[in-house]
This record gives sequence, structure tokens and C-alpha cells, in this order.
Amino acid sequence: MPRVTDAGAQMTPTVGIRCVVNGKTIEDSVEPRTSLVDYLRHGVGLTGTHVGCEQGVCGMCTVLVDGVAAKSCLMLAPQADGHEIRTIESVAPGEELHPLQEALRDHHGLQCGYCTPGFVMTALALKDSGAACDEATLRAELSGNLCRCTGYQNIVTAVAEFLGVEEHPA
Amino acid sequence: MTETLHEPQTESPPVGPWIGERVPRFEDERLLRGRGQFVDDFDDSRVLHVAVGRCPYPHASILDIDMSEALAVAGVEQILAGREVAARTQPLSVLRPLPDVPRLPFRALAVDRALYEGHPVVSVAATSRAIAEDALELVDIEYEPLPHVVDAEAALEPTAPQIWDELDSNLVVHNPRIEGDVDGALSRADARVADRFAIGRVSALPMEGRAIQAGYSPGISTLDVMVSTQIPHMFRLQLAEALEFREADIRLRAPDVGGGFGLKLGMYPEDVVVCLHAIDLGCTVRWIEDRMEHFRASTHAREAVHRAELGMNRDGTIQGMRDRYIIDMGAYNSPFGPPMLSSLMFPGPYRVRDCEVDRRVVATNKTPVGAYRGYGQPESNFVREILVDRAARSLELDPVEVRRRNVLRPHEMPWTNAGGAVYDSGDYLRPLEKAIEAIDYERVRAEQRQRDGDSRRLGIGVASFVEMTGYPGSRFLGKHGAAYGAHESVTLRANRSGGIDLYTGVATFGQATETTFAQITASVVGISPDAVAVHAGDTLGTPYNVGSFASRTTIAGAGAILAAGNDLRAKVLRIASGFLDAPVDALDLLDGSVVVLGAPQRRMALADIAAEAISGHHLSANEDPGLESTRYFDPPASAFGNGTAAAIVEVDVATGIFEVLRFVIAHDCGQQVNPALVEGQLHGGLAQGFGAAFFEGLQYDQDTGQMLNGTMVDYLVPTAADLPSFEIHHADVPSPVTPLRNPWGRRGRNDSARCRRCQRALRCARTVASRDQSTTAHSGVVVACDRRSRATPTLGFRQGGSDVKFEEVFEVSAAREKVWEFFDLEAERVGMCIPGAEEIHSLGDDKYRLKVAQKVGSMGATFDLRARIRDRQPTEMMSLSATGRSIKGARGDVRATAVVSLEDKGDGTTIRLDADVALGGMIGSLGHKVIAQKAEEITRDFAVALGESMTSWTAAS
Ligand code: FES
Ligand code: FES
Repeated sequence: MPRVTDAGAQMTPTVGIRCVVNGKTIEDSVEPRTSLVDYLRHGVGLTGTHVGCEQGVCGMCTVLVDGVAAKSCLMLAPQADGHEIRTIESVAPGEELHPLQEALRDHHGLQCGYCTPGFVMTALALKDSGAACDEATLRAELSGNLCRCTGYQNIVTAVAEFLGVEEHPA
Repeated sequence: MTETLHEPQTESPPVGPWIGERVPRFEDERLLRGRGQFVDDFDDSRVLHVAVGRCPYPHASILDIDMSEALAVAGVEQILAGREVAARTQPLSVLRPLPDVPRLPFRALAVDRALYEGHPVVSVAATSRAIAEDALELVDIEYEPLPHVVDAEAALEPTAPQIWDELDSNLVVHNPRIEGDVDGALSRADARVADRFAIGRVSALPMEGRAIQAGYSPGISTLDVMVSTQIPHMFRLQLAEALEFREADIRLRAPDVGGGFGLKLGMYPEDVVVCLHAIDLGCTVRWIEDRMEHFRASTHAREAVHRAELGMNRDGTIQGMRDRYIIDMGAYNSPFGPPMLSSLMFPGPYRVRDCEVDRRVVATNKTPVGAYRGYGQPESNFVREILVDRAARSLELDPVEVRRRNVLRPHEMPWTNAGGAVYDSGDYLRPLEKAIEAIDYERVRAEQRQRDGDSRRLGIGVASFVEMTGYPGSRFLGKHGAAYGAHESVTLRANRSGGIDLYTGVATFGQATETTFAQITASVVGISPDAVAVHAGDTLGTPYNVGSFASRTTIAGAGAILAAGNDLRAKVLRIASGFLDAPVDALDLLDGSVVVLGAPQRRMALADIAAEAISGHHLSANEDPGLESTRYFDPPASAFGNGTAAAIVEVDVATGIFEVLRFVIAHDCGQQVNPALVEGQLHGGLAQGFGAAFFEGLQYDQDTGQMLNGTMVDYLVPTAADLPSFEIHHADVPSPVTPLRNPWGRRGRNDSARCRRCQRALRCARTVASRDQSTTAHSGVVVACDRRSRATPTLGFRQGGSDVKFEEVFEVSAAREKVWEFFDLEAERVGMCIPGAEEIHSLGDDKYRLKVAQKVGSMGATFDLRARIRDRQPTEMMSLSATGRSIKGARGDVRATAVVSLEDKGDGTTIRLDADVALGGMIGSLGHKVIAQKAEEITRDFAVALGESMTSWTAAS
């Protein structure tokens, strides 16, 4: 984890954290200023969670914190202490894709794929919360995740299918 | 003339079994699992990280750079600055040079003078990005701001500050072109409409910013570069030129690329610097652009001012057109530079013979512009289609009827348009009719009339376009001075597993090259797409190519795959013929095996044929070993996509709030390789068009020259909640650009012109609905719109969550006249009462410049502010405004307005301060609550300091 601990002689103080990431308990020490997304990507090596703005706007960094979708660029790593984090890498651990991932593939819901992990995590959280019941609500619920390639249409179709939401007929 | 209307003009060419199939993408599996490999996803345990220091001013002399303190930071390995870098490297090469324009050398780091906000000035390599950024804050750079200009029209004024000594003025190039008798045609027209159209400045904004990693080990002397780019081979050449390396000593690859849209065409200054660090330090160095840098240092696009005119006859015939426009190039001609397609494509799909296009490219103190979807075409489509609508309205003609009358017909093809483009083919009426039918035009018109008096009215917008895709041949490009050709190339190599390895220099950034190239190869050779392994974007082992832009990859790539596939197939059949003891013409390659026609039990698997070819053990004497072919394909002409978009929009005429009820697009991009991918491209292009029309627009403050909304919070891109569902209709007419060599007759997939095509249609719709005759269509200025997901928009650009309004009322014992005198005469002293104020200078004319240091939360920053007294009503009120940016510490900018009002309170005075402060950038991202708290604290301290200062002043006077 050189990015955050190789502070050399400066010896920035670190704090200990203990959290569960994708089912595994991790004990580590981090510089307090390390954001959760940097820690996950460069500390734990889970690079499926991406970074697009570091401002909480784009949703590239969305992970689940205790089952709730959160923007990991807005959390500091020490704030994950005592919590359970899930990232995209945990969604389909085996050969098979998760049904949501399959829906995204079948409906061509990704192009460059940079935003995809964020959408997957948001949609998984939505499934649990049961918040979206029509297309307009679904679109609003997805509006914390940006995508510059797809125009969202196929993402909305795929997520709607996964959640069992009726899309408005055109 | 109508008899040929709905006849495709060429016969359908042969289509291979996988062409036109919705094959799922091969890229998806890894991307869906988060296992894609973008540059920053590679292991960084032995990697140094770079942070780049940038000029905070639009134009400044760099007087001194003191890096001593920064170099002492533990973990800092190297700091580079302009002079050293200039001595060791060549300026960035320009891939599309402007003819007859002197070279405007774009150095990797600014030398002595920085020309735009965000211009790279110093670069730190350290063991972590955080340490590199810490060190950057300690690099002391002394700037002297120079006069600046951030508006293209103002830059043409004789008094404007001159940006380049190499030029006579800020006019970089002027390209007039007149075809026919434009004045005559316009004067004969029954109606003439003219207007000024200001097209906003936008960012392509791929979700992954730029990224580069360079590794160098002294023993090997080879630079191993990984970069998020659209053009690996050209990039390698540019890098070799800048570093004065042999091309052979650089390996360059693009791993997964998180979107490009034209922004990742060509090398940028940071790329050269990162390589220098790697060479000097003999290790691997990485730079990942953050979003703040992206807005300031990656190319912008589109900004232009068009003055255009169109003349129409009473019968709806377009008589003539004129478009004189100015492009704001920014400070440099970037590798791809300002667009020229606005001129070429201005006539659009219409039969226009008398036409003038006149382009002027102007230098300003802004980020350089570059390519972006459609690259000049959406801009001129926008202008033309609005004029067509307005002309139709002034003659009381139906806008659809007018388009029907003017669109070119198949029998008129090929057609050389008045801008100089040769349209190869196309039936432009077909998509127009399709779109009209799809939105049920007559019925909606009737409904629209019924709702004429309502507060919520209907608008119907229609826009037609032609879009140039690809290039008309390498020779053509050579004549026009481009540094690249028009070809694509591919190597196909059969492997012993029964599949084919395909090597292409094309990078893949969402356009699914891995899938489409496999589909085409499978179709030509006679195997399944799964058996084709596409190796893309690595200069090691791929033939030279041009790269992915201008929707050209599939057009040219298909030609190369066809040629190489045919070679391969022929050799496979020849070799098999010996083993199967049958003549070649009795053989076929189907599903990965060669079979004897009529005797399907006699077969030989491709894997076995490849094994024989590779070992060479049993080949006939006149057959060389190996089973591979490398072929290039140079399309002899551009292909032109075309189509019509139509929108129905409901508008509240009182508020301007609108809803897009339906958006239909009918288009023709020729034979589609994979319709799902084509639709995906259309959706994406439409979304970017909506963005440019309604949300996006980079704003600059004229006084300070500073970018006002360069953060993701402030620069709005459409979200899922902002966009309607798009309805797409295909009307595919095969393009005969290369009937023999490219049997699928593929046009480009309109990679982009739709960008503004939706903007156009929507804007037309809105205009029609509200009978709005306003003269400026300024893209990016959101007047009011219904965004379900975010806060209320305001005019100009919307502030993020850091816009804080507050008031503070306090009393001082001095009389009102005395207090006023203090404010009026002692502005500097008032300024120094601002907590953290370090210095203040009067600039005359009620303008001041001040430096203020502040600490908010864990972030500290020094702001350089320009303040101005805007209004004063003696003894009662004074209003001020200030804008500025952080020049040290955390990056960010600030804008504030304040009104001070005075009232008698007994013998003393009540001072009331109403202020509105907007913070952008990193500091702004701290959020409303933190900022509001801080603002309160500042105001309180200000009140106390002011009281004290005034008391001592009153005492002294
Ligand atoms: S990186 Fe976290 S929201 Fe953009
Ligand atoms: S697929 Fe590229 S950003 Fe969404």
C-alpha cells in the first residue's frame, strides 16, 4: 500500500481499522486522510471500484456499506472501521454472472464499462430497499450515477428488468 | 422526381452470417465484474506517482520557481520545471496542422509564460500521489499576471492583449469559401432570416480522465508506456518525436479506456513529463488526471459564434446560405485542434448551390480545444436547422414540407455540396418520412393547434442532417496536411487451437472493437466469433494504423479484415486441398472446418490445418509455412450517415419548464455490423447532445479570466433522470463507397452528429412552442428546466452545494456619515479587516486586488481576489463583488457579492451585511454546512475587526 503509507521520514500517523470487505475481515492501519475508495483500490487491491470525480457526484466509486449504497470517495477509510463493505468483486464470485449483470449485458447497458460497477452496486442496494416502483422513480434513483457513453436508456431497461419495474411504453 | 424515392439505390451486397447480429459483447464479462484493466488498475506497488502544478491565472509570467522546500519532503524523487524540460524535449506535434499558420510551440511545461488556467508549470514525482500533492503546495511559484482575453470576439478587437508574438493578431487562421452567387441568391429570396448563434464551450468528459504510466529501465532503454488513448500508434510517434527517441524504443498500449469521445486523441503535455520522470528515475511512474485537472487541462470543444443567414423562396426552396463563424481555439493548437467540419457540412442534406462558409479561428487565454463527437458538425447543423425553421415560419410554410422539398434525392448522388464534401449516396427522404410517420406528425400538429391558448403548449421539432464519417483516403489527408492517413490495418493469424488471433492498433474504449472485429472476421473466414481473439491497442505486434475517431474504425477496419480474411481463407483451402485430396473449388470453410462439398464426412479442422501450416512438415514445395496475413485498407471516400430527428415537447410558456414527450430519430448508417451497438452509440450521442443543449457549458469570468464551473458539482451532465427514452428507427441503405472491397457498404455509425441533432430538434420545438423569437441560442445556458434529481437551476450556470447566503447585522458607535466616509475613502482598510487578508492594492476605478488566506476544515488555501465596488448610494448602501481563485493550497475558486447597508441607530450606526458566496473546487466540495459555518465565523470576525479599525481611524481623523 505504498500510495498511503510510504510517507517515509514524515511519519504521518496512521490509525488502525478493522472492517469486513467482501466477507473477509481486514485489520490494517491507514493514514487518516486516505479516502475509502483509495484504500479499497490501492490498499486492498480491489480496483473494480472506480474514481471519477472525488466529489460525490459521479457514482463511479459506489460501494455498499452495511448494505446501503455509499460513495466511497466521500468516506475516509477510518470511517469504515466496524462496518461491512461490499464491492463489485463480490457480486458474482463464481463462473456465472449475477442476474443484474446478465441483464446489463443482454441489454447492452455498458460501453466503456467504467461506470458499470457503480451502477451495479446502486441497483443492488435498490433491490434491497425496494425504492423503485416505476420508471421515473428508477431513473431518479439512478441519477447519482453518471454514464457518459450509454445515454442511460439500456441501463434503465436492464435494471428495470432486474427489479421487475414496468418501463413506460414509448 | 419521386419515383426513386423509396428504392435503395444499390443492390444489397452479400452479408456474412455474423453481420447484422446482436452478438453480446466480449468485453462485457470482465467489465461487469469490475475486472477491466484501466491504467490506474494495474498494480502500483513499485510505482511513483506524479502530481502536476498548474498556473492559476489565464495569462501570467513565471518569474521564479523555488522548489527547495518541496524537494526536502520525504518521498519526493524529482521535480521538473519548464526550462529544463524545454531543453530536453520537442514541443507536442500537431496532427492536424492549420495550413499556413506558424507553429505555436506547445511545450510539456510552460516556459516563462503560462497561457491558460491549468497550463502545466511544474511536475513532482513522489512515492505517493498524496506526497506529490503535498510537495506541490510547497513549490513557490512567483507569477506576474498579464492582461488576458477569454472571449473570442473580444480577442479580435485591436486593443486585445496579444497572445502569440508569432501571429499578427489573435486571429490564427481565416478560411473563407464562397460557392456560387451568394449575395445574388439571398437578394432574390422571398424571405431572408439571419441571426447570431453562440455555441457553448463543453467538455467531452469521459468518466475515466486521462491516465498514463511509463516505465523505463536503463539496461533495456525501452520506454514501456500504458496510456488511456484512442490512438496508440500515433501517440507512440508523437512521444518519440517529443522525446527524440526512436519509435522502436517505445512500446505503447492502451488498456481498457474509460471513454474517449475525441478528447483522448493525441498526446498531451503531461504525457511527455511523465516519461521524462521515468527516464530520469529509471523506474515506473504514473499520472492519473483528477477531475479538477480534467476540466482545465483536457481539451474543450465546440465554442463558436456563428453569424448565419438563409434565403428561401415562397415555394420553400432554399435559395442560398451563409455562415461566418469564429472558433475560440484557446491558447494552443492542440494535436487535433479546432474543427473544420462546420464549414464542410453546413449545407447539410439540402440542395444548396449558393453558399458561403467563412471560418476564423481565434486564440484566447483558455484551455485548447480539440475533437469531440461530430467535431464541428453538430454546431453547423444547429445553426442551419434553426434557420430553415425560421424561414419556413416567416413564409408560413410547414417545416417538414420545406425539408421534403430541399433534401437531396438518390438520383442526384454523388453530390458535391457547396462546402466541398462529396456525398457518396443516400436517400435522405427516407429517414425524414420515417421520423415524421413515427411521431404521427399530422395528428400532433392538430393537437398542437388545439392547445394554442393553453399555458402548457406543444412544440414539435424536426431536424435533418448528414454526417461525414471516416476520411476520403490517405492521399486526400496528405494534401490537407494531416499527419496521419485514412487507413486501418489488421493482422490475422490462425492458431493451433482452431481460432484466429486478430491484431489491431485500434484501442477499445466502449465502441466494442473486440466484438465487431470478431464478428467480421468470423463472417469472412467461416468460423464462430468466439474463436477470434482480438488483441487491440498495443503497438507491440500490431500493424501501423490510424486509430479510433471520426467513426472510421469499422469502415476502414472492415476493409482490412476482409482482405486479410480472404488471404487466410484462400491459403487454408489450398493447404486443405492437399490433405483432403480435393480441388480448392470443391472445398468450403464452415464452422471452423474445411469440408469437401457434397462429401461432408471428408473434413479437416482449422486447428489441424494451422498446425500443419505452422510446423510446415507436410506442406507442398511451393507453399510457405505460416498462416497469417496483414492487410491495410484505405477507403477511397468518406461515407456519409444521415437521418432526421423529431421531438415532441411540452412547454410551460410562463416558466419555460418543459418535458420531452417523445424523441424519435430515424437514421441511415448503411449495413450495421451489430445493431445493438449502433443503437448504443446513438443513445450516447443523443445524451451528449441533450447535455450540450440544456446543461453543459464551461463559463469564464471576463474580468478575472477564470473558469467558473470547472468541477463535476458545477458542470452539469445529464443523469438518467434528465433524459427521455429515445426511439430509434433504422433506414439502412448500403453505401457504395467501396462496393468491391468493402462488401458491407458500411457508413460510419453517425458516431456523433446527433449530438446536437437532438439539441436542435428540442430547441426548435421549444422555440416553436413558445413562439420565442429571442436571438441567441446559447448552448449551455440553462434558463430554467425541470430536473427531477437536482436543485433548482439558475441563469448562467448552476452552483453546487457550496453557494452560501448569509447576513450579519452589527453596530458601531460612529455616526452614519462617518461610517460611510470610512467605507468610501478607506476601502483598503475595510479590505484588510477581512480575516486572513494579507495584502490589498487599489487598481483604480473602484477595483481592488487582494490576497486572503483561509483555512476551512483541514484545507488551507490562499486566494487571489479581484474585488469591485459596483454601486454606491452615499451614506446608505454600497455593493461589491469579488471573484478569485486559490493560488496556493487546496484548489478552488470563489465568487462573492455583498451589499453593505447603513442605518442610524441612536448616535451610532447599524451595519448590515448581506453576502452571497459561492465556492467551487476542492474547498467547495466540503459541503454547504461546513462552508456556512465558516462563513459565519468570517463575518463575525470581520465585524469585530471593522469596529476596531473604524474606532482607531475615527480617533486619528
Ligand atoms: S468518485 Fe465518488 S462520486 Fe465520483
Ligand atoms: S459505459 Fe462508459 S461511462 Fe458508462
